[in-house]
Amino acid sequence: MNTTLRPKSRRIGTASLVLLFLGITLGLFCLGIWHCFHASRDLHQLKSSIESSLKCPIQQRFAFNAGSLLFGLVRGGCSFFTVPPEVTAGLQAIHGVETSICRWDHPPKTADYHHVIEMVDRAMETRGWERMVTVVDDGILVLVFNSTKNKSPRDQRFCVAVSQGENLILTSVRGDCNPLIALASKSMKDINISF
Amino acid sequence: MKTRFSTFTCITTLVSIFCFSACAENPNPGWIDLGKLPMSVKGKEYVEVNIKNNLISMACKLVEKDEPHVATVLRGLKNIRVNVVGLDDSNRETVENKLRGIREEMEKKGWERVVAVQSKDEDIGVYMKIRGEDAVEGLVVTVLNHNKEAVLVNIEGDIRPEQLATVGQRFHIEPLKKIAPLMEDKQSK
Repeated sequence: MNTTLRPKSRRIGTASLVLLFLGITLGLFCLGIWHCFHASRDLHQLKSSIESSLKCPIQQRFAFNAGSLLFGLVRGGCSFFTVPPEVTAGLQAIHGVETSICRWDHPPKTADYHHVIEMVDRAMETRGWERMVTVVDDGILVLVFNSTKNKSPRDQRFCVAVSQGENLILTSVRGDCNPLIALASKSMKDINISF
Repeated sequence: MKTRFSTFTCITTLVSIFCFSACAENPNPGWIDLGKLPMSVKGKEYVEVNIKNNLISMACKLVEKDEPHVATVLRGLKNIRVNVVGLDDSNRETVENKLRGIREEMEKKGWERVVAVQSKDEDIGVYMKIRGEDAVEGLVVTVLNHNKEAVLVNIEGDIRPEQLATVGQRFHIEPLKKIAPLMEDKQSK
């Protein structure tokens, strides 16, 4: 009796394991796809702080999040072709990118940018970001933040916000600066800075 | 016992207050408070760059293999701040007053003006905070182009003239080439 039941239960066990494995794979795949089109909390914080400081509602149109897996695949794919050194350095440097494209419902015509910068600074500091570059020119606002958690040149994080006209573009980049610095130091020989 | 404890508490408090006020008075001698420079209402350019210690040390790590002399200079730096403000009728007077105030404050705090260029349209000043005889703790460059813009640069850290000249020559940076001999002259005096 027992001898006839064993193979059947084994078959059921294997089938359920395969189903479980497929379920987990499908779940992870869906999670990956969902993650690909969602911005991180840092970008959300940046967006909401700009929105609240300017008191103008923003609608997110598109978000894209590419992690190290995708960049690893691209790097692997590029290794089969002859690619310019700038592109190779860029691909080696970038480990992850996320972008969120938003649109103002009613773009702000005038703004107290000092107030905006102060509010955004306060919000970003709570998430470990420090403002590095600010540019305001003819209605264009550019803010560049670097993470205070950046310890090694091999793991750097930067966050950029650009507001121009109706659009607000937020980007966060994670990567290794070494390949870019190597490329820059090669090119530096030809650069002449003067005033 | 109680009296001893209260005396000890009083002394500790006084010492702490003294230390705190001494630190608060001069936390970074080479760093100046630029405050907020008013932007132009018409939306002329406003640029602010803040490079802090963590980024400088990262840059230092990156170049120390190939460019050890540049890494030596970077290692001494603590902070770099650059401000560019476009001027028009809405903010020209305020920015000019603010710059004048900063210059007066620096002179009061012992900064030395090493370069002064004044023409019809331009007013350039280079200030240094010198520590002892061998090093500069801070460098401030103020450029006021009355019709166009105001530029403020503040570099804080151990800046040695001979090192600046090396970097200036290595990267062909003309301002560094020009400032380095002036700083060397000032130090030799």
